[in-house]
Amino acid sequence: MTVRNRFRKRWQAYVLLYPGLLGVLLFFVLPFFVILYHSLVENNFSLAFVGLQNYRDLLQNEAFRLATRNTVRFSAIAVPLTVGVALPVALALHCRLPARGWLRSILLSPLMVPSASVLLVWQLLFDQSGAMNQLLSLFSLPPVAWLRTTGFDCAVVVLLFLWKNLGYNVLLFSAALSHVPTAPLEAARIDGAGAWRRFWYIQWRYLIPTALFVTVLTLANSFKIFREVYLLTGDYPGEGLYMLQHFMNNMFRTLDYQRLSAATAVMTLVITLVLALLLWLEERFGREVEE
Amino acid sequence: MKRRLSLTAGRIALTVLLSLLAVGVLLPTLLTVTASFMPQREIEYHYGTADNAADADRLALYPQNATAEQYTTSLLQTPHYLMRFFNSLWYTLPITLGQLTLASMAAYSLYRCRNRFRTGVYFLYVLLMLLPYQVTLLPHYLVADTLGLLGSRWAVVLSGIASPFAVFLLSRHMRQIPLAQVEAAMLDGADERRIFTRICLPQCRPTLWAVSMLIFAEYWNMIEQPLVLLEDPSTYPLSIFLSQIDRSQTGVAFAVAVLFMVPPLLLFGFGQRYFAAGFGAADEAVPRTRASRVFRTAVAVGAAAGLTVLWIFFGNTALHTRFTPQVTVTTPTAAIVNDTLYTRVLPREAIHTDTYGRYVMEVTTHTQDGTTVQYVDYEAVTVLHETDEWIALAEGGDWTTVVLSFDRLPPENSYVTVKNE
Repeated sequence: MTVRNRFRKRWQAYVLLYPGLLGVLLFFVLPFFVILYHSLVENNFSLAFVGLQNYRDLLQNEAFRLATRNTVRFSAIAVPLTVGVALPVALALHCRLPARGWLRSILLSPLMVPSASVLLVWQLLFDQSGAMNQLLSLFSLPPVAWLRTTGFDCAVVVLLFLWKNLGYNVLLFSAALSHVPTAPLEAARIDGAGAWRRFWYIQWRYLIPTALFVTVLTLANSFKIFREVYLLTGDYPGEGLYMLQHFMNNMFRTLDYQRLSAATAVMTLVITLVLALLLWLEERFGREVEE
Repeated sequence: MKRRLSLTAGRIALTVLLSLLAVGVLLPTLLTVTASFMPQREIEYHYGTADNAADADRLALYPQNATAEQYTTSLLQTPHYLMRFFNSLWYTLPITLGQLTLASMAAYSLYRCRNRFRTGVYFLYVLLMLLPYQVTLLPHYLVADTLGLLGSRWAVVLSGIASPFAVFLLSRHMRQIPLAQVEAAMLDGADERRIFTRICLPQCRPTLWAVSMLIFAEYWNMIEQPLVLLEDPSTYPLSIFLSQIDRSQTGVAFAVAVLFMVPPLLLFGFGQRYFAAGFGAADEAVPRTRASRVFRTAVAVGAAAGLTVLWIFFGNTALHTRFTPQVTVTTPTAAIVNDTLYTRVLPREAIHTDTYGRYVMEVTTHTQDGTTVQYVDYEAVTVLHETDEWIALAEGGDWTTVVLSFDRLPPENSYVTVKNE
């Protein structure tokens, strides 16, 4: 086969990328430059360049600060918890338990059950006179206004997040565990290493990249918690659950382009940096294990 | 010997523990299903939404007087739920199929073309996949605005199709296909299109299943995009509509919620064997027996047929009007508001009783662009004066009017529809 022939064939493979890339450029990348422009002008009519004024305003905005605080706090609690619970469950499933396929499917099912369907049950469970408070009264504890008390409302949403994402993380860990070579594990067992040492010195080494990858995915998912919060509490939640997406929605309602753009630019920057750091970590530690 | 015994005991304990976890995980879904078969009163009793919360019993796992009433109410008597259900379907299906097509093409291209350009594009995809909606919605909004798509369904569908989510998982799977296979096919004279469709796609089947399930679940459940990109609530998917069902109609809401979880769970049931393999698990290729194949085909055909029937009879607005009685619209003539109750004087014809003897009023709210959103309010109406007196308290013009009290104010610009039954 000649070089020219080879090239002629190869371009077909290049072409396949274009439709998808076009969509991505159109809907994600190009508008981002428009947003940058919007964030630097005074308003859409005068188009006067104001430098970083919009950013300064945004960072001093109380609602934005509250939303950022809440979102960060939620992710900081929910992500380590979900990853931390998923790993032991995956390890437990890895022992050849009876019906492990079933268990894994059941754990995974909340991912497919739409949140909108089960939100009613959650609402009613955590209602002022709902089942949770009835449960508390059995232990003669005072009832709690679950969704209206700061702290408790966050706990309810964290529980919902855990319920929804646990199975997915378990699955990813299970997949990684199934690729850990069995020979060193067998050797360690024969040498008398206990379950903990076998995990820490062998399995964990192979799981590090997956753990980082799962953390990245869970972090990305934790930003989507707005859905569940919206379903539970609507447009105007209590102060503890006012998320960044609420802030954005309110900005959309008034179509404050400058503030929206500045907020989008700031969030993109921060999230990109965090993700890049995590991806870099994954790349680095991933390499180490391969050797 | 001793060691093996303790190991077994440990494994039993683990199994019990995990089973408990599994029961806990299943509980919300199960409760939704059982509650959908409870009469409204029983729901209020068990879940304590009744005013006298002290009387509320503990959580009930199953209905005492099972009834399918909620389903008939939501499916047969009110078109709004099914219309939203099909809204959801017409958003989610094109998005899933479109995104899958674009993504598998892009993933193949990334697999075949290995250069620096590729690395850059790949990183872009990974990054965009992880960006939350808070960040990507404004870009979508701007593009939809520029293209004049704002408020139309295409704004949601196109931005969904363009989403880069599936590329990452697919190209991670394709990377494992040995290049030797590709080269062998090329030597045999296959072009890229053939290699793509005959070699790569079949090997990616588990991942294609897994990814399509994830995409479907994601968009079936979407909240953010419709809220921002759509204007008319009648085009909202059921996911948003469900959260807006009134508290007094929890029974119907439960039935609709169960209906809403059927499509993704069906998909889950079908793709489940592939799910683990789709994420790279090395184990478990459950052999498919003939019986299971027959069963799966039967379920698929049944689901498709059921959806078609539902669509023809209830999802289609044009057809639906044929099955509902004629309706005329009238305005409340006066509103008296005292401390607790909102009172309106309504034409008598506005009120009718449904098959269960409840007083039913249909309130129609007009939206800005002239389309109307209709909903039936069951519990809002109490007739102040019973029997003979409650007709003809005031007679004005052609109308016989009744005084009604509401426990909440009907929305502004409400009209009352009169059914000529």
